[in-house]
Formats: sequence, C-alpha cells, structure tokens
Amino acid sequence: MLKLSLRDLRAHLGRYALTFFAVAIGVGFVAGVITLTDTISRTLDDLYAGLNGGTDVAVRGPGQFELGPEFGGGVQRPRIPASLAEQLTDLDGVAAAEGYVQGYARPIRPDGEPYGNPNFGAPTIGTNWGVVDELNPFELVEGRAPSGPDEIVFDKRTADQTGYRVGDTATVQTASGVREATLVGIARFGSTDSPAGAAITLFDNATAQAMLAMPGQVDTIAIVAEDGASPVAVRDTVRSELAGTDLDVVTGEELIAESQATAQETFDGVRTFLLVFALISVLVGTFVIYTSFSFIVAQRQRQVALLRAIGASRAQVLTTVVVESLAVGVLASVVGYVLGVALSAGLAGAFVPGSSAVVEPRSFGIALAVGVVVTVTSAFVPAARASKVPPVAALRDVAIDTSSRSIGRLLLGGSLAVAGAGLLGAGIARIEVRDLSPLRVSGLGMGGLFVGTIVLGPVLARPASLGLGRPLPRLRGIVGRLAQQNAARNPRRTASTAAALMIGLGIVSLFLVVNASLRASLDDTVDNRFSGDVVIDSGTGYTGGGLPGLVAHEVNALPEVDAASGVRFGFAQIAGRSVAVGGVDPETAFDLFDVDVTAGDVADLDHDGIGIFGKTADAHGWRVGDRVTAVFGEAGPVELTVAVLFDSKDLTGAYVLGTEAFDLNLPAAGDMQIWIRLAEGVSVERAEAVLEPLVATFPSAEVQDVGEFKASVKAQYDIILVLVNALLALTIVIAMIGIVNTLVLSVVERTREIGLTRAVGASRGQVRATIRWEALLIASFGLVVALAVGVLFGWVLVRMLADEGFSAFALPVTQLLAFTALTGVLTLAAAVVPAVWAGRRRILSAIADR
Amino acid sequence: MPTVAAGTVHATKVYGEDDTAVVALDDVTVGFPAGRFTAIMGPSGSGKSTLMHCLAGLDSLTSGQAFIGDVDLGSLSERRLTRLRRDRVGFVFQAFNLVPTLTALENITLPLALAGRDPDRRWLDHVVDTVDLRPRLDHRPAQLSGGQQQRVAVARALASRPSIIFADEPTGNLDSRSSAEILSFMRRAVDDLAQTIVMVTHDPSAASYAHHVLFLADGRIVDEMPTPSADAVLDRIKRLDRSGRT
Repeated sequence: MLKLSLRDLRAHLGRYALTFFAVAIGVGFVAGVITLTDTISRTLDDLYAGLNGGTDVAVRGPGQFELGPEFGGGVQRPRIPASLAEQLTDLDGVAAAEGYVQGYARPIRPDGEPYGNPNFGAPTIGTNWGVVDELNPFELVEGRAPSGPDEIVFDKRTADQTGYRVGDTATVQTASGVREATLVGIARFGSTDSPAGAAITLFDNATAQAMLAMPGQVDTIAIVAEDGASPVAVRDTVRSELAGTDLDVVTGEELIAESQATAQETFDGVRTFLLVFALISVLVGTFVIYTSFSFIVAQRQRQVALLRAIGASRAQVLTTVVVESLAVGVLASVVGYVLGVALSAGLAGAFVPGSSAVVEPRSFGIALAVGVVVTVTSAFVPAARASKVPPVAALRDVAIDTSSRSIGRLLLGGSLAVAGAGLLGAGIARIEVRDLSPLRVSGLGMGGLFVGTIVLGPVLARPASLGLGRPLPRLRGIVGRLAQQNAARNPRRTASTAAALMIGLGIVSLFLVVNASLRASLDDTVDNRFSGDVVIDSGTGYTGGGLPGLVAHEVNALPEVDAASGVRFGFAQIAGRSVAVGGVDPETAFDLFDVDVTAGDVADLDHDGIGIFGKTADAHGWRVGDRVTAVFGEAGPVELTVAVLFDSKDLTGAYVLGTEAFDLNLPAAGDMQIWIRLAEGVSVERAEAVLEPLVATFPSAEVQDVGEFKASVKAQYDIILVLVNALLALTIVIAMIGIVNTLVLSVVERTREIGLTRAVGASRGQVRATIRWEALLIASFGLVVALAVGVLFGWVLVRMLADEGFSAFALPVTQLLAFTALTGVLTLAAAVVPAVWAGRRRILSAIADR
Repeated sequence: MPTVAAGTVHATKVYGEDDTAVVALDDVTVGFPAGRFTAIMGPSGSGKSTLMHCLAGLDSLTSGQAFIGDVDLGSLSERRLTRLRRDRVGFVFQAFNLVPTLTALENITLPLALAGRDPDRRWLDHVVDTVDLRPRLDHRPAQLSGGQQQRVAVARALASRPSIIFADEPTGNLDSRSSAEILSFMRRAVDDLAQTIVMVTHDPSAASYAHHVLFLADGRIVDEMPTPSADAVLDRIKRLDRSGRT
C-alpha cells in the first residue's frame, strides 16, 4: 500500500512538473515582456531627458499637426531661423542660446556599405555639435570638436563598430547628399557610448544646418538660463519678446515631458504587440493546467467519494485542489518571473546597448497575479464540476466523460460560432454593425468563430479523432485501432490538448497566409501596375534622406531610359487625419504606373493639384476641382485642388502630389525609389551599367531589376514573419508540453489496460506506437482546425484589406505542408518520453493493482 | 504418459532482500500435463499467483527454471518472451480482462491482431459458439455483464489456440451461476477442444471443475488431488489451514 502511494505521489509530481512548466513559461513570457518594455521605456525617457537635460527654455516653430503614432508620432513643426539665438541671448535671465538641428545622417563604413539600418534598428541621426557646453549632451572622449564643413565627430559606438579612428576620412550620407569628412573626435552620450544605440554624426553648426536642413535654419533654439533665473520666468520673458510671432516657447522640463510622451505613445504599440503574444502563451498554458487538474480531481474523486460515504464534506475536494493549485501557481510564477526577467535583461542589452534591466515591483505583482489567477481558475473549474458528481457515480472505475453530449456546451459553442460566422459574413459584405467598421466586424466574427470552435472542442473531439483516425486501423492494424479509440475516448482532454495547439498553430498559419498574400500582392502590383523594368531603391526607407530630385532628372535624360519617376513620401494632415502623401513626376508616373485614373487630368498635378484615391474621395465627398486643405509640417495649411481620382493606391498611397507641389510643401524628402522603364531594346544589364554611376555617390542606393526589387521588399515582409513565429514559438512549446502532459495522464489512467495488452502479447514497441499515434491524432485534430481557421481568417483579412495593399490572396502550400510536417515531428518528439514510459510499465504491477 | 505443457524445476522466488525477504516460491518442481484442466489452490500468500505469473513469463524466478513446452523462459529476451506469451499462452484474469474501447470480437482477436495474424475462421466460430457469444460480438465491454465479459476473456484465451491457458481467479468477481457457466466452458474447452488450462483459485467449487488440484502452502506444493469434488477440496483446505496455523 505504501508502495502504491509512493508511486502515486511520484506520478503526481510528474503531473505537477508539466503544469509547473506551462505556468512558468507563460508567466516568464509576461514578466519578460514587461521587464523588456519597461527597460526600453526607461531608456527612451533617459534618452530625451539626456538630450535636453541642459535646456532651460526651448523655442520652436508653431505646431502644425500631430502625427499619428503609426508614423512615429510627434507634432510637426516648421524650422526656424538660427539667427534668433543671438536676439534671445541678450534677454534678461538668458545666459546662452544656441540653435539645434537634427536630420537623417547615415555613416558609411570604410568598405562602402552603409552602417545601421534605420528601417529595423536604432535611428541614424545627424545633429550639430553645440558650442554651449550646458546644452551639448555629448562629451568628447577622444580628439576635438568639429569645425568647418569637412569635420565630423561620431558617437563612440559608431566609431567602434565601423572601425573609424580619429584622423580617418569618413563618409556620411545625408538628405542633401554624401559628404566625406575627417573624423576629428569621438564622443560619448552621458554614461553610454551612444544614445539608445543610435548612430550619431555631429557637425559644426553651419554644416549641420546646410547638410540636414537649410543654411540658417534650425529645429529648436535651446536656451540656458542665468544662475538663479527660473526657467519659467525666462520662458515668459522669451514669450513676450517673441509676441506677435507664432513661435512656441516652452521650458526644458515641458520639452522633455512632451518628447517622452510622444516616444512612449509610439512605443505603446510595440508593448501591446508583445504583451498580446505573452498573453496568448498564458492562455495556451491554461489548457494544460486545466487538463492536469481535471485529471487530478478525477483521480481524487474516487477517494473523496469513499470519504463522503463516511461523512466527509463536499467542500473538501474544492479546498484541497485550490490549495494545491495555489502552491503550484505561486511557485511556478516566482520561477517564471525570475527566468523572464533574466532573459529580458539579456535581450534588452542586445536591443538597446548599454541599458540595464528595469525591474519594477509592479512587474512582479502582475506576473504573480497572472500565474496564480490562471492556475487557480483552471484548477477550480474541474474541481467545482467534480464536486457536483454524486458519490456513487464517482466510485465507478472509469470516469465517464459526458462533455461531448453537454447541451449547455453545444448551445454556447454553437451560438458563438454561428454569431461569429454571421459577423464574419456581415464584415465581408461590408456591413457596418453599430459604429464598427466592416474590418472590425469581421474581426469580431473571427474571434467568435474561433472561441466557439474551442468551446465546441469536446463535442468535436470524438468524431474528429474517429474520423481522422479512420485510415489508422487499416494502416497500422490493431495499434492504429487502439490509438484511434484512445484519442476519442476522452474528448474533453483531447479537445483541450488540441485547443492549446490550435491557438499557436492557427496564428502561425494565419501569418503564413497573410505573408504569402502580401508577397503575391506585391508581385501582382509590380507586375501588373508597373510597366517598367528597373527600380532604384534609395535604401533610406521612409525615415528620411532619399535620393535628391536631381537623380531622377538625370535618369530621365538618359537615352537608355524611356520614362522614369521618383516616388517620395511625406506626412500631412488632411481632413483631420495624419496621412502619408506620395510625390511623383506627373509627366511620367501615370504612364509608368497603372493606377486606374477615373477622373481628372494628370497634367493638373501642378503646384497646387492633388490626386486622391477614389474611395477616400468618395468617403469625404470630394470631386475633381474641389478644394482640399492639407496641413504640412514645414509649410502649414495649404489649399490644394483635386486634380485626379484613381482606383489603385498600392504604388503611391491614397494621396499623391506632383513633384512641384510636393517640393513646395515637403522640401526635405528625397525620392524613396526611382521607377524606370527602359527604352526599346535596352537590356537590364546595359541599363544597370549606365544607372549605377548616377547613384555611385549614394552608398545605400541599389539599382535593381524588378525581380530583385520584389525580393528585397519580400525580405522585409519575412522579417516580420520570422519575428511573429519566434514570438509564437514559446506558445507552441507550451502546447507541446500539453501533449506530453495528456499522454502521461493517459498512461497513468490506462496502466491496467496497457498491462493487459502487454500480457496478451503486445510488444513494448506496439505500446509505444499506440501512444505515438494517439499523440499524432490529437495533434492533427488541432492542426486541421488551426489550418482551417488560419486559411479562412487569412482569406477574410486579405479580402477586407484589398484596398490596403492586399490585391491578391495566396495559399502558401509548401510552407503549410512544411509546417504540418514540423508539427508532426514536434508531436512525435513530445510523445517519446510518455511512450517509452508506457512501454516500460511493469505488466504485473499493472494487472495486479487491485 | 501425457506431454507436459508447462512446468518448473526447482523454482524459487524471493521478494525483497535480507531482513525483509519473503519466500514466495520455495523450490517448486511441477509439471502441468497437456490436455488437462489443473487447479492450483492454497491460502492467501501460499505463492499460487506467483507460481502462475512465473510460469506465464509475467514474472521472473530468483532461481530455478520455468518452461512452456520445452522452452526455458529464463533464457528468453523481453522481446521473445512477449512473442511467446502472444503465440503460445492464453490469459484469463479476475478483472479488467478486456480493453474497454474494443468490441467483444476485437478483444477476442486481440492477441492475433497484435501478432499481425488473421484468425482461423472456423476455429474462431467454434470458440465463439462454445462460449455462446455470437449475438454479443459487436458489443463493448461496458455493454456486457460480468459473466459475459469473462466469457469474452475465455474466448480470447482460446482464440489463438495456445499451448496453455492461465486463469487467475477467473470467477472471483462473479455470482455462482455465471461462475458455473464459465467453469463449464473452460472444462469443455479442455475436454472437447483439447486445450490445456491452469487455473488459480481459492474457491473449492471452482476447483471441482478441474481434472486435478494442486495445493500450495508457504511456497511449496503440499498435496494434490485427482478428480476432485468440492467437498473433498474444502476438507483438504481446512486441514491445510489448520496445519498452517500450527
């Protein structure tokens, strides 16, 4: 009897170990995300505090409009004259004033390759070396300050990474072109080598203005107050001096708070994104915990039923389970928290060099709460259900799982699924429900359908296992038959195990479909809407720089080129929303790009003409000839005339200006790409030979044929896919732990049966194969639903976003097959230990346990 | 002289070590003749189940040898032992005899299915009719009465025409009518179908269905009785109990 109890206890420990892992991984993920984002968040705060630490008062251009967080946020303002500094220095209380300017500047490595990647990494920024010490956040560690147009200073990290040393000639690419200059100094930012890992190039004041903005123009005048003068008083003095202008005057503290808020707002998107994945993994963990405790409760139920026969209370079953789950939850949360924090500290170091992990008490509270609530709740539900079972039924040898026949479950799951399907249909039919957009309606529908499917899981599990397992008896004989029956006999357990897998795999397959469709849409757009052969990509992305307009002119002038148009982007506020505005050469672009012009004349895209995407125009009631006000950061509000309406915005965005209007209102932006159609009979090779020299001085620019261009854009899509898959990997690991867990529970539960089959002649190999096939059946139930859900939701999403760049739907068959195979391999790996364990069960102890 | 279907030579089985060692079998040499129905009786702890488990290859001896036919079980690997059980031994246990997810017919043919062999149709029909299960073949164990379940178990044991069938308290959980039914099926299997059965039991009336009864006490064979009657067996048991107590 003691032997039996010991064996029981050991089995229990094993069960708790897996539950423990599931909780710990989920909690660790949450804690890790919180710590990581807290750390980055603190780094951002420190960055802005450090950048503006010496500033007591700042003067800036008037705010024109606030950019949406999707574009990086912040109030857009025009630049102001640098000469204001001298005027303000004479004021009472002002000790010193100096203009600051910032812009795109990307160091080029000695081997000619650009350093840093502003699209997917820390920014590459150029700014001026302030001569007023209190205002300059940088400190030289080597060499001296830059002076004159041919001298620069790098931050220490950039110098270390590129290998440039003081005295070297270094190259820097800015919006106004490429400059070779002597590196005269290396500087640190506070206690770090570089502010948040950014690549910083420092010029003297006049050079910075000329390179990054316009000569004589700065973003901000920073003012140092005299000793004893309060920043607020100085601000008010400056304000009254500047009364009558529209300039904006704030204290340094206000400036810091504002820039921190903007950075945080933008960063919130990232935080939410990561937290969603962390919470998904916790959700998946709940299925594992739930399965474990259902089993523990079922086993205990017989004991308790016996006890109750002699007068024990019903609450006992609840209390013991809750106490045990509490212990598991607390312990696992603490372990998960420590692991998560340790891991994220390492990650934070990788993302933001020089940062140290920020561990707030809050994150521990959240981690503990998540872990405990999830564990106790997942344990309480089966315990509560068990306590309702009459003792006589509980004494039966094999607990009868009736969930597949539960009317309540059928009603709830069914109505959720039906309502979800209805909303999904409504969304596809572009019907708004209340004030939700069709996209959100369909999103809600997807959610309802998915949750409904999971609720219906136990109802579906039995027919699904039997159905999916139908070929097994023929293929694998009695082993297959046993596996098929075993997967079907405990529908609730099979369902929750499969559901855990379903969530992770469903999201992965959704992203695979979306990614494939994005790629197909890119192919579709470039192949069908662009009549050219070659694209010059600036390599600077949206963030700045771009190729000067001159390059596009030179390209157009080549005899090898039939037509070429630059495409550039800037921001504006139109009809109250911040939007991206494209700029193209109206003489060539509409010949190169088939954007389905439906009204107007592209020749009208002059100094005040604007082209608008048809559906956007319809939504606002704009027609050709109407006047539309656009607010630009530099130029302020400008009245434009609607010149053209078009039906495809995949290449240019919803708003397009001709080059003339664009340069008037958004003078800082260069061409992100130049799209080129070659003259008749000119080969791509020959074209490349003549085009390369034109961009030789822009190291980040690349001349690509259409295929190369598409490949490079797709590579960027793939980065996102890889990131998402990496984030889901933990979720899938938890789901696999769920499979191990379920198999172990099944083996424990079927010890006698396994012993019996062994006694009558099943080999260990046959026992193991039965377990493996059962695992594969459970996983394939999860996988089939996941694939169905992923493909269906992917299709809906692509349909709903047809105007937002998803012009084509594609099914990534190879990837989905590979992904199916991978799931199979992982499942078999998960089944190894339970299968071996089952094979090793001693026959005698199995059949002699009475 | 009948051939020996199974037997032991100087079989000793000791559980535990040193101080806690318990001798379950103490130098037992015995042969079970083919074509006979033998019952093993004895008080709890007499070693009768251990003897059967060791004979069936479910447990190993501490010393001595156990044979099925002329195969020395101690010389077999785990894999060969499994194959031997599957092909040459049939089992009927007291309870949990059947796989609950399989039908009666599937349970009957389970050893054959595990071996990947097709059942001999005529033999199978014969067995099914002998145990009177034809209308129940598609039923799951949960849909069968206790007596019917044991009949399925007996049919399974017979289905592969094993050299020997071991039955461990096959009627331990049954009422007297079902018990009588099962036992007469077993007897008929031996008499009509020429099978060999070794049955462990502590029920004298069950033992009375056998051709021959062995009595075990303290791990040794202490007596035997040909053509037993329930009363004679009961009488002998009482004497054994008394001698065990002195």
